[in-house]
Amino acid sequence: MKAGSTVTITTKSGEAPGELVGTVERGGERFVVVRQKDKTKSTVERSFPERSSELVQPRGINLTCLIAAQIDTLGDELAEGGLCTANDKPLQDIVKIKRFAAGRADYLSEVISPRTKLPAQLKDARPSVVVYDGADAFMRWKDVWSSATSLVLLDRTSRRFGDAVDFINQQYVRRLNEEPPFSVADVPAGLEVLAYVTRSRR
Amino acid sequence: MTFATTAEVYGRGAESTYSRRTTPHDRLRAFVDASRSFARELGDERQDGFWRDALRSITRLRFDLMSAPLPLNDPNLKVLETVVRLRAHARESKVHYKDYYESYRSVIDALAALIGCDDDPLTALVQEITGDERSLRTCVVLSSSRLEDATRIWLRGSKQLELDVLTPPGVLTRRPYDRMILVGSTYWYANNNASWLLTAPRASSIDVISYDWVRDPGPPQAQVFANSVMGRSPVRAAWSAPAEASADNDLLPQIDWQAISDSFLSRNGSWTPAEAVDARLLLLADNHAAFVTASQEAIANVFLPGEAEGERIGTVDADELVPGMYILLRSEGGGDYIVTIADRILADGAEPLRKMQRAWKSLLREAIERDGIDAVMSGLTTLGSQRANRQNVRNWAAPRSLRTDREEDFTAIMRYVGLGDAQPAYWAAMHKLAEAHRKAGLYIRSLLNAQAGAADPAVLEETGRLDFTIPEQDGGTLTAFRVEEIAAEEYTVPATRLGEPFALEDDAWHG
Repeated sequence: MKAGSTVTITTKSGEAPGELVGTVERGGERFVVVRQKDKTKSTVERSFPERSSELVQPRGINLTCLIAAQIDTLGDELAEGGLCTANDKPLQDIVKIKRFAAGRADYLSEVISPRTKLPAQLKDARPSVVVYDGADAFMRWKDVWSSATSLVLLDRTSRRFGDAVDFINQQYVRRLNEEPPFSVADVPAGLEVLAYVTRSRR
Repeated sequence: MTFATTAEVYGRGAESTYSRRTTPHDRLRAFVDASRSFARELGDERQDGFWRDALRSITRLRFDLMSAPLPLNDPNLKVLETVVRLRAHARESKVHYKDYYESYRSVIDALAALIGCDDDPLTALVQEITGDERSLRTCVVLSSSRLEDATRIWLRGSKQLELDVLTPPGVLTRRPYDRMILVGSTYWYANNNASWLLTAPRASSIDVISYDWVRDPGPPQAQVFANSVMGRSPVRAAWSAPAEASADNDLLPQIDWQAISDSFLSRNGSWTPAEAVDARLLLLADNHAAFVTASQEAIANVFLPGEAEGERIGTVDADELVPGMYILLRSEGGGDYIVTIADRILADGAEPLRKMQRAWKSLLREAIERDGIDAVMSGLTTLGSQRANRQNVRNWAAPRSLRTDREEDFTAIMRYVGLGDAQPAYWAAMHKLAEAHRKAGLYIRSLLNAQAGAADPAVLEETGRLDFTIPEQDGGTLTAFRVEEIAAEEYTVPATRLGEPFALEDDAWHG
């Protein structure tokens, strides 16, 4: 977590939001320093031993996957049977997107439009993987979840295709000298695939 | 794009081939050569007001003649009208620009030689490609929509060819074709954000047809990433001319942003510097354009065809507008629809608040008139404003904005214009107006969303516009226009003309 990140601080009196200041070493032990408002709305700093790291957690929901895409197309394919698993279940049964889950609590993923403002429930969300469907979605949200593993699907017909390609080429130049955790082979005709590891992902 | 469409597109792409066919035409070539040579001869004089309009007409007509399979005497091309107009202009040039008169005359004579010429070489190429084979789904693609209807009527009606006539956005709304015929140079498509026609082809075979003097660099390279892994790309077959390193930039009409701006502003009388705001100029679908604010604090209302029902009307920060998006503008009814509805929400409370809005803006505009905008910027900064740059100050003074985003900027303005003591009352009043505007926006959005659900995406993609009628007194019509291009430079325009779509005159700006 970076200094300035919003965190949830757990104390005997419950959970409260705060802001990460950093870490300090005192008496041979490292402490996590956070800033939060007390009952009088004054800002106070508090320290927690790093060994009790569960007391200071990043704020925001955990997601297996966040899909940045046009929502109507995605809904038809995932939830309405446009795409199915081998045993004829909608893909939604696996991806479990909250928006299409009809109020069920066991969701794993969420979807966000390339045109919307950042919804409150996704502020500080921590997806493991972000799927960007199209250049618009990628250019809109790439900076918000830059530390997640990203799967970027670009369509050459998009007006922002060139912008997205330029960004990825620049990021590729600054990539880490590491092999991606999978290999790319047998690429279907007409497709182009590029995989790399960046510093923000580490 | 759905998974099924994607699969079909890539299925076609895997087996695609390109070929190129060209045709000569001596008389047309004589006009093309003479006009290019004349433009070179004019050199910097091309920018002279005397020549600019004439050259724009010539460039536009030259491109029209080369870019659509139509008989050269088709009335839509307007060869005769152009010759008549240019001859009158040439007579003037004989007086003022004697040195260029002979060359100019030779261009007009070459064009006049096409009057009544019913040759139709590009249609002959289309017929040669399609032959008697009727079972293959075929489309002819034009690089510009200008002659799309005329070409459709000609090929389908007069020539009885069973094919679609489209421009690139229309191709996206159709299933992939068996055969696609692109008219012109591949460069024209690449230059028009449509190189995907060649790098992600939506047809099993693509024939590029043109006149034989049109240079063609060939399909662009499909690979866009360094060190990527490529699947098989479409195959270039029977490319009858060698790929050429450069294309003919001068053949392609360019957008003359200044001409668009001048034509609009000349209709709008004069205005004072205090009324001026910085604006971005948008070229819209259906041959329209509009100025929108360049303010970083402004938002734009947009139509989002890909979103879920009920969420297709939204807002983006004005500086996030990009080509391809649909901007909502009031096309009939005049004035600002949000203001109309907001005032209705506020009922009797509206007028006192509007009076306060007009008062502080009027004082700020007077200050700009009196002291100059630089002095006002400097004064506001001294009084604690953090964002008093030229663009923001102009936006704050504009009649449409309500208040600043940050209170310290507003406080500085109030103190500068002598309303420091009344700042709390003015800030609260503008807050009330902003709240009413927000409610009006939500209300309008709900009305439009109800209509947006019925929009046909194919029609929208092809026409680039969608009209919404607001079922209210004075509601008028809102139109979602596709943004085609955005000028790189900003313009200074009267604030009252922002967001007003205007029709462009017969592409006269396109030279």
